Amino acid sequence: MVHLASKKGSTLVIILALIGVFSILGVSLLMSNSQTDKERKFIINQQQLYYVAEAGLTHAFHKLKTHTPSDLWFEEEGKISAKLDSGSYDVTLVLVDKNSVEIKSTATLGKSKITRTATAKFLEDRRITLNTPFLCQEEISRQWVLNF
Amino acid sequence: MFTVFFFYDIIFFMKIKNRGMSLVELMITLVILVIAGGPIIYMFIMSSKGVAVEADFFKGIYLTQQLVEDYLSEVYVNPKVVLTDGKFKEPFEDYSYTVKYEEVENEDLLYKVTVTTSWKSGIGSIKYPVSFLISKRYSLTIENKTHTAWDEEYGPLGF
Repeated sequence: MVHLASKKGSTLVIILALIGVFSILGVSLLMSNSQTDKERKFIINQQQLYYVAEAGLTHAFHKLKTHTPSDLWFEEEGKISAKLDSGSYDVTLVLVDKNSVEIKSTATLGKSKITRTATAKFLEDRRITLNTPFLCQEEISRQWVLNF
Repeated sequence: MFTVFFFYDIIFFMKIKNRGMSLVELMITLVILVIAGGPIIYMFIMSSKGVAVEADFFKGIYLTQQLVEDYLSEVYVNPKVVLTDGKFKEPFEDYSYTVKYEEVENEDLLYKVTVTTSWKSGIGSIKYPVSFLISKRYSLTIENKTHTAWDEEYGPLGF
């Protein structure tokens, strides 16, 4: 009798313990989910910002294509800035030497930032062709090449 | 024989000393289970749903990235390539995408492209957009051809 009397309320204790265990399991699952959610947001931010930064480089290079080293615009106008759906970019261009421009594009979305850099080089290709109605001719092709 | 005595002992005990004790415990347990068990089960269900939703999301992110990278690698080789709305190939046929081209203000031949991937998930329809720029000027011939005489011996040539 004494033995049985000591089991008073044992079911309750067992159930409470079980609920405690399952609660801990559930909370840890929720925490794990919230961690995955954070990771997802981080990856989304990084991916979208990467393309925004790339867009900045594209924009700068696009503008360079209509200029030669003798008529570069950015020393007067400053940096290029624009906004896309998933962030904004600021691009700074610096003339490194006579034929090279360093492009630095910084994408911003909230507190996140990504910077991409590239160098644009101006190439001058001289070609001499003889197979023309004229005796000879020299062709000079000028183009900007983007090196990431 | 022992079993019979054992059960007799329990019944005797319940009747005399602890009458209805198990019933009370059971009822309390049921009440606690109803109050606390519901949210716990709900937590489990939501967690498993959340895992599936996150998995779908990651698929969507990487499919979009692959699509954009494939397009970017093609467009500067062949500027006529245009990305149009479509669905991803099997086994990702549940994922579809729309493409929007917009001209960038104050720029010639510069376009903003927005690829939006959408899919149905456990929590409804989800859309994931990625925007980038493409320049149609890249693929154009931008050579500034200047023709000059290369040897003064022949004099200035008329072009």
